[in-house]
Amino acid sequence: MNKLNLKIIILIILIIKFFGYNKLICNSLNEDLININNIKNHSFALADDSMFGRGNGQLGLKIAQKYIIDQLSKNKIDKNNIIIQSLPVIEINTLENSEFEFINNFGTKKLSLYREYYIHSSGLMSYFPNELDLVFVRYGIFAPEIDYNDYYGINVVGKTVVFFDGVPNELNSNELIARYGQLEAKKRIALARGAIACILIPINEIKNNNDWKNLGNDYEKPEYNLPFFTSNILTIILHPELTDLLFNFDKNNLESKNFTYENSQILNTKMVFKGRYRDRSFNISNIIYEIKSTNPKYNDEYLVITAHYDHLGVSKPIDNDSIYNGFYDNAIGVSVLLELSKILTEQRDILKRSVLCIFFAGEEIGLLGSRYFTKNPIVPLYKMIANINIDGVAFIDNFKNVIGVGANYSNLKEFLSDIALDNNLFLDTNFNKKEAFDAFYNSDQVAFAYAGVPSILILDGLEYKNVSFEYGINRLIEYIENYYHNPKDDVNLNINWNATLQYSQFLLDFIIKLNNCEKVPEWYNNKFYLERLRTRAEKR
Amino acid sequence: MKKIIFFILISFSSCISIQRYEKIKIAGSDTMYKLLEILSAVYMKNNPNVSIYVTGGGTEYGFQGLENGQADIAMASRNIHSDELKIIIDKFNSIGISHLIAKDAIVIYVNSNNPVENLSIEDLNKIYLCKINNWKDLGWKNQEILAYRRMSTSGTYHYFKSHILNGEDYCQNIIAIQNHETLISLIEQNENSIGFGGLGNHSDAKPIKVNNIYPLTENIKKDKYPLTRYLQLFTISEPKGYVRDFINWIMSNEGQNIIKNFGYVGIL
Repeated sequence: MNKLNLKIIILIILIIKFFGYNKLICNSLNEDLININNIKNHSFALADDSMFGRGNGQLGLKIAQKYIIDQLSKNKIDKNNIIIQSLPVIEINTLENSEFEFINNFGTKKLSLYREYYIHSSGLMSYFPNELDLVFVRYGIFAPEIDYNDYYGINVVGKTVVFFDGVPNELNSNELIARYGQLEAKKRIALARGAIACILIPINEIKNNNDWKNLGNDYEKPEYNLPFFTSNILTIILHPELTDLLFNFDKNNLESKNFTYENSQILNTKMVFKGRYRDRSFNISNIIYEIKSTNPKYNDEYLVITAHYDHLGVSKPIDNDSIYNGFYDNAIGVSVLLELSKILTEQRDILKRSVLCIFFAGEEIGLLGSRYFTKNPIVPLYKMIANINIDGVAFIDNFKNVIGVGANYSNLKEFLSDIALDNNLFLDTNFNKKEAFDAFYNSDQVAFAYAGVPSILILDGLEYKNVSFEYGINRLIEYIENYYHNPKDDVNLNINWNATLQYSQFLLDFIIKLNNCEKVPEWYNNKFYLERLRTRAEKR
Repeated sequence: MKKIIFFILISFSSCISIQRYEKIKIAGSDTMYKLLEILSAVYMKNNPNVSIYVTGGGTEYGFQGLENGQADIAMASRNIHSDELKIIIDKFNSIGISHLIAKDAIVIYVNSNNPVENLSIEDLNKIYLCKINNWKDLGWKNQEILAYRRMSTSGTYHYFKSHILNGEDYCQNIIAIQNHETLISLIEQNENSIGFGGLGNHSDAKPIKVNNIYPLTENIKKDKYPLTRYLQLFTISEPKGYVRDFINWIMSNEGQNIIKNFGYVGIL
């Protein structure tokens, strides 16, 4: 080969490298490398009855852990690239012989756990044998930015606050609803004002007894926590039918004739709570798989891809089935991540930055695995450019659009929009922002957001190639009503594997382009997650 | 000249770094005092540049220490009270973090000559409200009961008050003792005495059953023993530096083994 030819070849390589390298390679990667049969096989294995529903603190989770490690070990890498991060979990069961009473001049009313109230959090096994004053604080919100304060002029130190779910009309922006509408936010406000306990009356969410019973799916279960946690407070959810009982005395009392739900006020009813508990601790494990980039300049930066591998395990039987297999939630998501980790290992030479694939435990019991990881990261948080979480893959039909849950908070939205276009898809921004916030708040990506790392959960949109929008909506509703957190979410669930393949291919393209881009994701300036960047900067 | 000044500065700064040491101040629960002293001793041996000062006085003092800056970590054998937390929030704009390090039980101790092996929760309630004043009512000889309790700054005092006395005040005849060691030694000196304290404090006084269950590790772990609780370290915010490292070490296998050997039930 003569010098001139050599120069031309080098020039061509450089042109490809700087102008078209990523695109060419990525597109071909998408088409060829994902093997849907691998994803199917992993999914069936992880959702098999032999995994006992992968419950936290149960044998099944350990079996699933071994399966995932075995699969990762096949990726022909140094075994040191697999890190098992063990974390202790505290489990607290509030027992049915706990005593909860309302006391007023009409007498004493003893309440029954589950039938009339649920425990949202025990405040580390609270026990209040003395009568506590009750203070009604409407929605329990203090929002200084709009000069709104349900606690105005009321001293709640050492008292129990009673509030409704939802937000008042004054909170009219999605940002404010997102910030103050969550129960956790209301609990923090109550704590900060010196309250000793909270009673939530979900008058907006619970319309009938059936709704109340459904709430039991979440609250007839133990409470879980890491051995370190921010101060908590006893929080009781009261059946809305008991609202009258709680307020009747004040409504009928001659001195309280001006009673109205519009005013915060001290009630003439008091409460006693003698909690009885059973608790235990156990360990669960995150599985962290590191794919080190060969690029010496960037290999100390990381893109983090996550999926939770735990589900509900063996629990209360429904239709004689007690194994909650969690096929869709999230055996398939884990299987997609296993397949992606295999491909990314094989293609690591094209990776600009390193990749961490993390299989989280503890998602179903309060995002404990991801919360623990972001407090105890194996590499400093500021080195993580972004988190892509997989929790709910496409299963209905080949799709035309994608949704980025959490995309609005950072310029991941622009990345997603651009890469979607490359894949002949478009970004759907036409969804309810409150719902989007809830979705963002309810899976592992939010732990990264709170730690300052821009994060996103990518879902397929509702426009399909072969079926109608209505069909898609009905399938989703059917899943939520009949399969979500139900033993029926098992291998018999109808999955369109072509849709899952398309989703996985898109995800691979997104991962590689995001990983290889010069620009890194940043929070938008007006988003509150930005505050966390200061912490990251300090650590830097 | 410039080079010399530069050299002096470098030498000086290296001297500072050689002599630099970290100080961790811990205050609070007497129940946890001995345990934290042992944990600190082992940690300091492995980390010679860290000095840890542990002082007791009761859980209440621990939270006060956090509030006035005299402690980095509060030892707490009960949950923080809402009024204590409000002070921390007002002052530091933080709701604090609890780190559970061990599980403990309130153990009822009597003199080793006392043949009584078991008392019910109801018996204990009556003793400390002075509704039962004589050992003969509990199956022993005709002898007045001499009951001890801890000071009101103690987390153990509050736990016993809420869980045994249902929030009522101790009766006036009950003698308040400043710390656990003194309480145990008084029980050993007086045949007719009774008192209560944490699990991990080894002593010659005789631990007895409550509701027919001994405060054994297995019974505490499985919540069969009726008077169990968590021992906590409380920090104002997320711990950093050596404070964080020390707490992480306590939660490691090495730290938890020390806790178990001391007599408490570990978290791991």
